Amino acid sequence: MRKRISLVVCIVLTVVLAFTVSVFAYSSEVHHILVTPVVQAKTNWCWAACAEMAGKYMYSVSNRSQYDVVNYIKGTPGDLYPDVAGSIAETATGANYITYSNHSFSSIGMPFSFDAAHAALGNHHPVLAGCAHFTGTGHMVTIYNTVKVIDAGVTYTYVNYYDPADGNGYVCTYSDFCDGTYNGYSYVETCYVLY
Amino acid sequence: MFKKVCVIALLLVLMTNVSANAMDSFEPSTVFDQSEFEVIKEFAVFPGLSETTTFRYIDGYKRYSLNDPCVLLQPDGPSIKSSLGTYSWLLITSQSNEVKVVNKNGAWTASGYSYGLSQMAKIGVLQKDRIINLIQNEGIDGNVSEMYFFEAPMYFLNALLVIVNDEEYVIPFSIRSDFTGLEDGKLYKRTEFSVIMRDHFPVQEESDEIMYGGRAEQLTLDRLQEKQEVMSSDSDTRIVSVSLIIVAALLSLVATFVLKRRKVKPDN
Repeated sequence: MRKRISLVVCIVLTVVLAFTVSVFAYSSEVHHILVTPVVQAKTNWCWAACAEMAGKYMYSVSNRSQYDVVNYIKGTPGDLYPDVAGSIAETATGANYITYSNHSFSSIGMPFSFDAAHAALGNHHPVLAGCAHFTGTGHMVTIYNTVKVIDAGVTYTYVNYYDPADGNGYVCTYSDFCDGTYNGYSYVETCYVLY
Repeated sequence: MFKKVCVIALLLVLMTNVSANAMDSFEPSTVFDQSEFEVIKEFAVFPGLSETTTFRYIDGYKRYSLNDPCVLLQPDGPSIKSSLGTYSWLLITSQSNEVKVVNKNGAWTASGYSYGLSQMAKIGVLQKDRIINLIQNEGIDGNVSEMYFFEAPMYFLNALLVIVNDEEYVIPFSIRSDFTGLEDGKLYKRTEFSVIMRDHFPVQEESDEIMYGGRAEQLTLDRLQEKQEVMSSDSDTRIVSVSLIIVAALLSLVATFVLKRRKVKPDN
Protein backbone atom coordinates (compact mmCIF):
# COMPACT_ATOMS: atom_id res chain seq x y z
CA MET A 1 0.00 0.00 0.00
CA ARG A 2 2.80 2.38 0.96
CA LYS A 3 4.53 1.58 -2.31
CA ARG A 4 1.47 2.45 -4.30
CA ILE A 5 1.05 5.76 -2.48
CA SER A 6 4.71 6.55 -3.09
CA LEU A 7 4.30 5.72 -6.74
CA VAL A 8 1.26 7.96 -7.14
CA VAL A 9 2.96 10.83 -5.30
CA CYS A 10 6.00 10.37 -7.46
CA ILE A 11 4.00 10.48 -10.67
CA VAL A 12 1.99 13.52 -9.60
CA LEU A 13 5.13 15.38 -8.59
CA THR A 14 6.76 14.52 -11.88
CA VAL A 15 3.82 15.76 -13.90
CA VAL A 16 3.52 18.96 -11.87
CA LEU A 17 7.24 19.61 -12.15
CA ALA A 18 7.29 19.06 -15.89
CA PHE A 19 4.37 21.39 -16.54
CA THR A 20 5.61 24.02 -14.11
CA VAL A 21 8.89 24.23 -15.99
CA SER A 22 7.17 24.83 -19.32
CA VAL A 23 4.39 27.10 -18.09
CA PHE A 24 6.46 29.50 -16.02
CA ALA A 25 9.61 29.48 -18.11
CA TYR A 26 10.56 32.85 -19.57
CA SER A 27 13.34 33.41 -21.99
CA SER A 28 14.15 36.17 -24.41
CA GLU A 29 16.76 35.96 -27.12
CA VAL A 30 17.68 38.95 -29.29
CA HIS A 31 19.96 38.73 -32.29
CA HIS A 32 20.95 42.17 -33.47
CA ILE A 33 23.46 43.38 -36.02
CA LEU A 34 24.47 46.97 -36.68
CA VAL A 35 23.34 47.44 -40.26
CA THR A 36 23.45 51.01 -41.54
CA PRO A 37 20.15 51.86 -43.25
CA VAL A 38 20.30 52.95 -46.88
CA VAL A 39 17.53 54.87 -48.63
CA GLN A 40 16.86 53.79 -52.19
CA ALA A 41 17.85 56.51 -54.65
CA LYS A 42 15.30 55.66 -57.33
CA THR A 43 11.79 54.24 -57.44
CA ASN A 44 12.84 50.70 -58.38
CA TRP A 45 16.10 50.42 -56.51
CA CYS A 46 15.01 48.80 -53.25
CA TRP A 47 16.93 45.66 -54.21
CA ALA A 48 20.13 47.60 -54.89
CA ALA A 49 19.78 49.57 -51.64
CA CYS A 50 19.32 46.29 -49.74
CA ALA A 51 22.36 44.83 -51.50
CA GLU A 52 24.32 47.86 -50.31
CA MET A 53 23.03 47.48 -46.73
CA ALA A 54 23.97 43.81 -46.54
CA GLY A 55 27.19 44.09 -48.50
CA LYS A 56 28.51 46.98 -46.47
CA TYR A 57 27.63 45.24 -43.23
CA MET A 58 29.77 42.29 -44.32
CA TYR A 59 32.51 44.43 -45.84
CA SER A 60 32.40 47.83 -44.23
CA VAL A 61 35.43 49.26 -46.07
CA SER A 62 33.62 48.97 -49.41
CA ASN A 63 33.38 52.12 -51.46
CA ARG A 64 30.64 50.75 -53.66
CA SER A 65 27.02 51.83 -53.43
CA GLN A 66 23.60 51.06 -54.87
CA TYR A 67 24.56 53.11 -57.94
CA ASP A 68 27.52 50.81 -58.59
CA VAL A 69 25.29 47.75 -58.15
CA VAL A 70 22.76 49.00 -60.68
CA ASN A 71 25.46 50.04 -63.10
CA TYR A 72 27.21 46.66 -62.78
CA ILE A 73 24.07 44.55 -63.25
CA LYS A 74 21.67 46.68 -65.25
CA GLY A 75 23.70 49.49 -66.75
CA THR A 76 23.97 50.02 -70.48
CA PRO A 77 26.15 52.46 -72.44
CA GLY A 78 23.06 54.54 -73.05
CA ASP A 79 21.83 54.44 -69.49
CA LEU A 80 24.39 53.82 -66.78
CA TYR A 81 21.89 53.90 -63.94
CA PRO A 82 18.50 52.75 -65.21
CA ASP A 83 15.60 52.90 -62.79
CA VAL A 84 14.71 49.22 -63.01
CA ALA A 85 13.75 46.47 -60.60
CA GLY A 86 15.98 43.50 -59.79
CA SER A 87 15.45 39.85 -59.01
CA ILE A 88 16.49 38.04 -55.84
CA ALA A 89 19.45 36.48 -57.69
CA GLU A 90 20.53 39.89 -58.98
CA THR A 91 20.35 41.19 -55.42
CA ALA A 92 22.77 38.45 -54.32
CA THR A 93 25.08 39.32 -57.21
CA GLY A 94 24.86 42.97 -56.24
CA ALA A 95 25.70 42.25 -52.61
CA ASN A 96 28.70 40.17 -53.73
CA TYR A 97 29.79 43.09 -55.85
CA ILE A 98 29.57 45.47 -52.90
CA THR A 99 31.99 43.22 -50.96
CA TYR A 100 34.42 42.94 -53.94
CA SER A 101 33.68 39.20 -53.70
CA ASN A 102 35.25 38.99 -50.26
CA HIS A 103 31.96 37.48 -49.14
CA SER A 104 29.43 35.38 -50.94
CA PHE A 105 25.69 35.86 -51.04
CA SER A 106 23.13 33.47 -52.42
CA SER A 107 19.38 33.44 -52.87
CA ILE A 108 16.54 31.04 -52.45
CA GLY A 109 13.02 31.20 -53.83
CA MET A 110 11.34 30.85 -50.47
CA PRO A 111 11.22 32.66 -47.14
CA PHE A 112 13.50 31.75 -44.26
CA SER A 113 11.75 30.24 -41.29
CA PHE A 114 12.01 32.42 -38.19
CA ASP A 115 14.59 30.07 -36.73
CA ALA A 116 16.67 30.23 -39.91
CA ALA A 117 16.59 34.04 -39.93
CA HIS A 118 17.32 34.11 -36.19
CA ALA A 119 20.28 31.78 -36.70
CA ALA A 120 21.61 33.84 -39.60
CA LEU A 121 21.58 37.02 -37.51
CA GLY A 122 23.13 35.05 -34.65
CA ASN A 123 25.99 34.38 -37.05
CA HIS A 124 26.15 38.13 -37.81
CA HIS A 125 24.71 37.66 -41.26
CA PRO A 126 21.99 40.04 -42.49
CA VAL A 127 18.94 38.62 -44.23
CA LEU A 128 17.34 40.29 -47.24
CA ALA A 129 13.65 39.55 -47.52
CA GLY A 130 12.02 39.66 -50.93
CA CYS A 131 8.37 40.56 -50.45
CA ALA A 132 5.55 40.51 -52.98
CA HIS A 133 2.23 42.30 -53.16
CA PHE A 134 -0.72 40.56 -54.76
CA THR A 135 -0.74 43.18 -57.49
CA GLY A 136 2.63 41.93 -58.70
CA THR A 137 4.71 44.61 -57.05
CA GLY A 138 7.88 43.41 -55.36
CA HIS A 139 9.73 45.11 -52.56
CA MET A 140 12.82 44.21 -50.59
CA VAL A 141 13.80 44.98 -47.02
CA THR A 142 16.77 44.18 -44.78
CA ILE A 143 16.26 42.25 -41.55
CA TYR A 144 18.72 43.38 -38.88
CA ASN A 145 17.17 42.14 -35.66
CA THR A 146 15.19 39.14 -34.50
CA VAL A 147 13.58 38.55 -31.12
CA LYS A 148 12.39 35.25 -29.74
CA VAL A 149 10.49 35.34 -26.48
CA ILE A 150 9.12 32.32 -24.66
CA ASP A 151 6.69 33.30 -21.96
CA ALA A 152 4.35 30.98 -20.09
CA GLY A 153 4.78 28.31 -22.70
CA VAL A 154 4.02 30.57 -25.64
CA THR A 155 6.64 31.64 -28.16
CA TYR A 156 6.57 35.16 -29.62
CA THR A 157 8.75 36.00 -32.58
CA TYR A 158 9.52 39.44 -33.98
CA VAL A 159 11.65 40.85 -36.76
CA ASN A 160 13.10 44.33 -37.17
CA TYR A 161 13.85 45.50 -40.65
CA TYR A 162 15.00 48.55 -42.52
CA ASP A 163 12.80 49.62 -45.39
CA PRO A 164 14.90 51.27 -48.10
CA ALA A 165 11.84 53.25 -49.22
CA ASP A 166 12.30 55.62 -46.29
CA GLY A 167 15.28 54.20 -44.38
CA ASN A 168 13.10 53.78 -41.30
CA GLY A 169 13.21 50.84 -38.95
CA TYR A 170 10.11 48.74 -38.40
CA VAL A 171 9.23 45.95 -35.99
CA CYS A 172 6.51 43.39 -36.43
CA THR A 173 5.55 39.88 -35.54
CA TYR A 174 7.22 37.32 -37.77
CA SER A 175 3.89 35.85 -38.88
CA ASP A 176 2.53 39.28 -39.89
CA PHE A 177 5.77 39.97 -41.72
CA CYS A 178 5.35 36.75 -43.69
CA ASP A 179 1.68 37.03 -44.62
CA GLY A 180 1.72 40.73 -45.40
CA THR A 181 -0.53 41.79 -42.55
CA TYR A 182 1.90 44.41 -41.34
CA ASN A 183 3.25 46.11 -44.44
CA GLY A 184 1.07 44.77 -47.22
CA TYR A 185 3.78 42.58 -48.72
CA SER A 186 4.16 38.82 -48.26
CA TYR A 187 7.65 37.52 -47.60
CA VAL A 188 8.41 35.09 -50.45
CA GLU A 189 12.14 34.95 -51.24
CA THR A 190 15.45 35.33 -49.44
CA CYS A 191 18.92 36.61 -50.18
CA TYR A 192 21.41 35.45 -47.57
CA VAL A 193 25.10 35.26 -46.73
CA LEU A 194 27.00 32.07 -47.53
CA TYR A 195 30.28 33.21 -45.98
CA MET B 1 -30.47 101.66 -40.50
CA PHE B 2 -27.95 101.12 -37.72
CA LYS B 3 -30.16 98.35 -36.29
CA LYS B 4 -30.32 96.60 -39.67
CA VAL B 5 -26.55 96.73 -40.04
CA CYS B 6 -26.13 95.31 -36.53
CA VAL B 7 -28.56 92.47 -37.23
CA ILE B 8 -26.87 91.59 -40.52
CA ALA B 9 -23.44 91.71 -38.87
CA LEU B 10 -24.70 89.49 -36.07
CA LEU B 11 -26.17 87.02 -38.53
CA LEU B 12 -22.92 86.93 -40.51
CA VAL B 13 -20.90 86.26 -37.35
CA LEU B 14 -23.32 83.50 -36.34
CA MET B 15 -23.24 81.90 -39.81
CA THR B 16 -19.44 82.00 -39.90
CA ASN B 17 -19.23 80.36 -36.50
CA VAL B 18 -21.73 77.68 -37.42
CA SER B 19 -19.81 76.91 -40.61
CA ALA B 20 -16.46 76.82 -38.79
CA ASN B 21 -17.86 74.63 -36.06
CA ALA B 22 -19.31 72.27 -38.62
CA MET B 23 -15.86 71.78 -40.16
CA ASP B 24 -14.04 71.68 -36.84
CA SER B 25 -16.29 68.95 -35.61
CA PHE B 26 -16.09 67.06 -38.90
CA GLU B 27 -14.32 63.96 -37.75
CA PRO B 28 -16.00 61.07 -39.52
CA SER B 29 -15.82 57.71 -37.86
CA THR B 30 -14.13 56.38 -40.99
CA VAL B 31 -11.00 58.27 -39.95
CA PHE B 32 -11.18 59.20 -36.29
CA ASP B 33 -13.26 57.51 -33.66
CA GLN B 34 -12.36 58.39 -30.11
CA SER B 35 -14.46 55.70 -28.48
CA GLU B 36 -13.07 52.96 -30.74
CA PHE B 37 -9.57 54.37 -30.24
CA GLU B 38 -9.93 53.92 -26.48
CA VAL B 39 -10.86 50.28 -27.04
CA ILE B 40 -8.15 49.59 -29.61
CA LYS B 41 -5.44 50.94 -27.30
CA GLU B 42 -6.02 47.98 -25.02
CA PHE B 43 -5.03 45.56 -27.79
CA ALA B 44 -1.80 47.36 -28.68
CA VAL B 45 0.50 45.11 -26.69
CA PHE B 46 3.60 43.24 -27.78
CA PRO B 47 4.35 40.40 -25.36
CA GLY B 48 8.04 40.15 -24.56
CA LEU B 49 9.10 43.43 -26.20
CA SER B 50 10.30 45.49 -23.27
CA GLU B 51 10.52 48.82 -25.13
CA THR B 52 6.80 48.72 -25.85
CA THR B 53 5.88 48.71 -22.15
CA THR B 54 6.58 52.46 -22.07
CA PHE B 55 4.36 53.21 -25.06
CA ARG B 56 1.76 55.86 -24.28
CA TYR B 57 -0.87 56.26 -26.98
CA ILE B 58 -1.79 59.88 -27.66
CA ASP B 59 -3.68 59.69 -30.94
CA GLY B 60 -4.85 57.29 -33.59
CA TYR B 61 -6.50 56.98 -36.96
CA LYS B 62 -7.92 54.37 -39.25
CA ARG B 63 -6.18 53.49 -42.50
CA TYR B 64 -7.78 51.51 -45.29
CA SER B 65 -6.09 49.12 -47.67
CA LEU B 66 -7.00 49.11 -51.35
CA ASN B 67 -8.34 45.99 -53.02
CA ASP B 68 -7.12 47.22 -56.36
CA PRO B 69 -4.40 49.87 -55.96
CA CYS B 70 -4.08 50.12 -59.75
CA VAL B 71 -7.17 52.37 -59.77
CA LEU B 72 -4.88 55.13 -58.50
CA LEU B 73 -3.16 55.12 -61.89
CA GLN B 74 -6.39 55.28 -63.87
CA PRO B 75 -7.70 58.83 -64.28
CA ASP B 76 -10.89 57.53 -65.85
CA GLY B 77 -11.04 54.30 -63.89
CA PRO B 78 -13.34 53.20 -61.13
CA SER B 79 -13.65 55.36 -58.03
CA ILE B 80 -11.01 55.00 -55.36
CA LYS B 81 -13.76 54.51 -52.81
CA SER B 82 -14.96 51.41 -54.65
CA SER B 83 -11.53 49.85 -54.07
CA LEU B 84 -11.37 50.49 -50.32
CA GLY B 85 -10.83 47.29 -48.38
CA THR B 86 -10.55 46.72 -44.67
CA TYR B 87 -9.06 49.18 -42.23
CA SER B 88 -6.47 48.88 -39.53
CA TRP B 89 -5.65 51.27 -36.71
CA LEU B 90 -2.48 53.31 -36.51
CA LEU B 91 -1.82 54.46 -32.98
CA ILE B 92 0.62 57.28 -32.28
CA THR B 93 2.80 57.03 -29.21
CA SER B 94 4.35 59.88 -27.26
CA GLN B 95 7.73 58.46 -28.35
CA SER B 96 6.77 58.97 -32.03
CA ASN B 97 6.09 55.37 -32.90
CA GLU B 98 3.23 54.38 -35.14
CA VAL B 99 1.70 51.14 -33.92
CA LYS B 100 -0.43 49.11 -36.29
CA VAL B 101 -3.34 47.19 -34.81
CA VAL B 102 -5.13 44.86 -37.21
CA ASN B 103 -8.32 42.89 -37.16
CA LYS B 104 -7.62 39.20 -37.65
CA ASN B 105 -10.56 36.86 -37.72
CA GLY B 106 -12.67 39.35 -35.80
CA ALA B 107 -10.10 40.04 -33.09
CA TRP B 108 -7.91 43.14 -32.85
CA THR B 109 -4.24 42.37 -32.43
CA ALA B 110 -0.99 44.35 -32.47
CA SER B 111 0.94 43.73 -35.67
CA GLY B 112 4.02 45.96 -35.50
CA TYR B 113 5.29 49.50 -35.25
CA SER B 114 7.66 51.98 -36.82
CA TYR B 115 10.44 54.08 -35.39
CA GLY B 116 9.32 57.55 -36.36
CA LEU B 117 6.05 58.85 -37.74
CA SER B 118 4.81 58.72 -41.29
CA GLN B 119 4.04 61.92 -43.16
CA MET B 120 0.38 61.07 -42.76
CA ALA B 121 0.71 61.00 -39.01
CA LYS B 122 2.79 64.16 -38.90
CA ILE B 123 0.52 66.20 -41.12
CA GLY B 124 -2.67 64.27 -41.64
CA VAL B 125 -3.52 63.26 -38.15
CA LEU B 126 -1.62 65.37 -35.70
CA GLN B 127 -2.51 68.53 -37.62
CA LYS B 128 -6.19 68.04 -38.33
CA ASP B 129 -6.66 71.80 -38.50
CA ARG B 130 -4.45 71.92 -41.56
CA ILE B 131 -6.72 69.55 -43.45
CA ILE B 132 -9.81 71.44 -42.42
CA ASN B 133 -8.24 74.72 -43.56
CA LEU B 134 -7.20 73.13 -46.83
CA ILE B 135 -10.71 71.96 -47.60
CA GLN B 136 -12.17 75.32 -46.60
CA ASN B 137 -9.64 77.20 -48.73
CA GLU B 138 -10.69 75.16 -51.74
CA GLY B 139 -14.21 76.36 -51.16
CA ILE B 140 -15.61 72.91 -50.63
CA ASP B 141 -16.39 73.23 -46.96
CA GLY B 142 -19.73 72.16 -45.64
CA ASN B 143 -20.26 69.56 -48.32
CA VAL B 144 -17.66 66.98 -47.36
CA SER B 145 -19.65 63.82 -47.11
CA GLU B 146 -16.94 61.22 -46.58
CA MET B 147 -13.27 60.96 -45.70
CA TYR B 148 -10.93 57.96 -45.69
CA PHE B 149 -7.23 57.51 -45.15
CA PHE B 150 -5.79 54.82 -47.37
CA GLU B 151 -2.40 53.30 -48.07
CA ALA B 152 -0.70 52.17 -51.27
CA PRO B 153 2.81 51.13 -50.26
CA MET B 154 3.72 49.99 -53.77
CA TYR B 155 3.35 53.61 -54.83
CA PHE B 156 5.10 54.99 -51.73
CA LEU B 157 1.82 56.62 -50.81
CA ASN B 158 -0.57 57.25 -47.96
CA ALA B 159 -3.41 59.60 -48.72
CA LEU B 160 -6.66 61.08 -47.57
CA LEU B 161 -9.64 60.53 -49.83
CA VAL B 162 -12.19 63.31 -49.55
CA ILE B 163 -15.59 63.00 -51.18
CA VAL B 164 -17.52 66.17 -51.90
CA ASN B 165 -20.77 66.06 -53.80
CA ASP B 166 -19.82 62.63 -55.16
CA GLU B 167 -16.52 64.04 -56.49
CA GLU B 168 -13.29 62.46 -55.24
CA TYR B 169 -10.35 64.53 -54.04
CA VAL B 170 -7.03 63.20 -52.79
CA ILE B 171 -4.62 64.71 -50.27
CA PRO B 172 -1.35 62.74 -50.52
CA PHE B 173 1.15 62.15 -47.75
CA SER B 174 3.87 60.36 -49.68
CA ILE B 175 6.52 58.13 -48.23
CA ARG B 176 8.67 59.53 -51.04
CA SER B 177 7.20 62.60 -52.70
CA ASP B 178 10.21 62.63 -55.07
CA PHE B 179 8.92 59.33 -56.45
CA THR B 180 5.23 60.19 -56.67
CA GLY B 181 5.57 63.73 -57.99
CA LEU B 182 2.84 64.77 -55.59
CA GLU B 183 3.00 67.55 -53.04
CA ASP B 184 2.31 66.42 -49.51
CA GLY B 185 -0.80 67.89 -47.95
CA LYS B 186 -2.06 69.42 -51.21
CA LEU B 187 -5.63 68.81 -52.36
CA TYR B 188 -5.81 67.17 -55.80
CA LYS B 189 -8.83 66.43 -57.93
CA ARG B 190 -8.97 62.69 -58.57
CA THR B 191 -8.21 62.97 -62.29
CA GLU B 192 -5.27 65.31 -61.76
CA PHE B 193 -3.93 62.99 -59.03
CA SER B 194 -4.18 59.84 -61.15
CA VAL B 195 -2.54 61.45 -64.18
CA ILE B 196 0.50 62.38 -62.06
CA MET B 197 0.61 58.91 -60.52
CA ARG B 198 0.34 57.17 -63.87
CA ASP B 199 3.20 59.24 -65.26
CA HIS B 200 5.45 58.41 -62.32
CA PHE B 201 4.78 54.67 -62.24
CA PRO B 202 5.17 53.26 -65.73
CA VAL B 203 4.74 49.53 -66.12
CA GLN B 204 8.03 47.65 -65.95
CA GLU B 205 9.17 45.03 -68.43
CA GLU B 206 7.58 41.62 -68.12
CA SER B 207 9.53 38.99 -66.26
CA ASP B 208 9.07 35.39 -65.18
CA GLU B 209 10.74 36.19 -61.89
CA ILE B 210 9.50 38.37 -59.06
CA MET B 211 11.17 41.70 -59.59
CA TYR B 212 11.85 43.85 -56.56
CA GLY B 213 11.40 47.55 -56.81
CA GLY B 214 8.72 48.11 -59.34
CA ARG B 215 5.57 46.94 -60.94
CA ALA B 216 5.95 43.45 -62.31
CA GLU B 217 3.50 41.17 -63.97
CA GLN B 218 0.59 39.93 -61.92
CA LEU B 219 1.65 37.24 -59.49
CA THR B 220 -0.98 34.66 -59.00
CA LEU B 221 -2.21 34.23 -55.48
CA ASP B 222 -1.57 30.51 -55.90
CA ARG B 223 2.10 31.16 -56.43
CA LEU B 224 2.29 33.35 -53.34
CA GLN B 225 0.47 30.79 -51.26
CA GLU B 226 2.74 28.05 -52.57
CA LYS B 227 5.75 29.97 -51.33
CA GLN B 228 4.20 30.78 -48.00
CA GLU B 229 3.51 27.15 -47.23
CA VAL B 230 7.22 26.85 -46.56
CA MET B 231 7.02 29.26 -43.67
CA SER B 232 7.82 27.78 -40.34
CA SER B 233 4.94 26.87 -38.10
CA ASP B 234 4.81 28.50 -34.70
CA SER B 235 7.01 26.84 -32.19
CA ASP B 236 4.22 26.70 -29.57
CA THR B 237 3.51 23.15 -30.56
CA ARG B 238 7.16 22.31 -30.18
CA ILE B 239 7.15 23.51 -26.57
CA VAL B 240 4.12 21.42 -25.74
CA SER B 241 5.79 18.42 -27.41
CA VAL B 242 8.99 18.91 -25.42
CA SER B 243 7.00 19.08 -22.19
CA LEU B 244 5.18 15.88 -23.03
CA ILE B 245 8.43 14.13 -23.89
CA ILE B 246 9.91 15.19 -20.53
CA VAL B 247 6.83 13.92 -18.68
CA ALA B 248 6.90 10.65 -20.59
CA ALA B 249 10.61 10.17 -19.94
CA LEU B 250 10.25 10.81 -16.22
CA LEU B 251 7.26 8.48 -15.98
CA SER B 252 9.23 5.76 -17.76
CA LEU B 253 12.10 6.20 -15.32
CA VAL B 254 9.77 5.96 -12.33
CA ALA B 255 8.03 2.89 -13.77
CA THR B 256 11.35 1.20 -14.54
CA PHE B 257 12.58 1.95 -11.03
CA VAL B 258 9.42 0.51 -9.43
CA LEU B 259 9.48 -2.60 -11.61
CA LYS B 260 13.12 -3.23 -10.81
CA ARG B 261 12.44 -2.95 -7.08
CA ARG B 262 9.58 -5.41 -7.38
CA LYS B 263 11.84 -7.90 -9.12
CA VAL B 264 14.59 -7.54 -6.54
CA LYS B 265 12.17 -7.75 -3.58
CA PRO B 266 9.25 -9.93 -4.59
CA ASP B 267 6.15 -9.73 -2.39
CA ASN B 268 5.93 -12.44 0.22
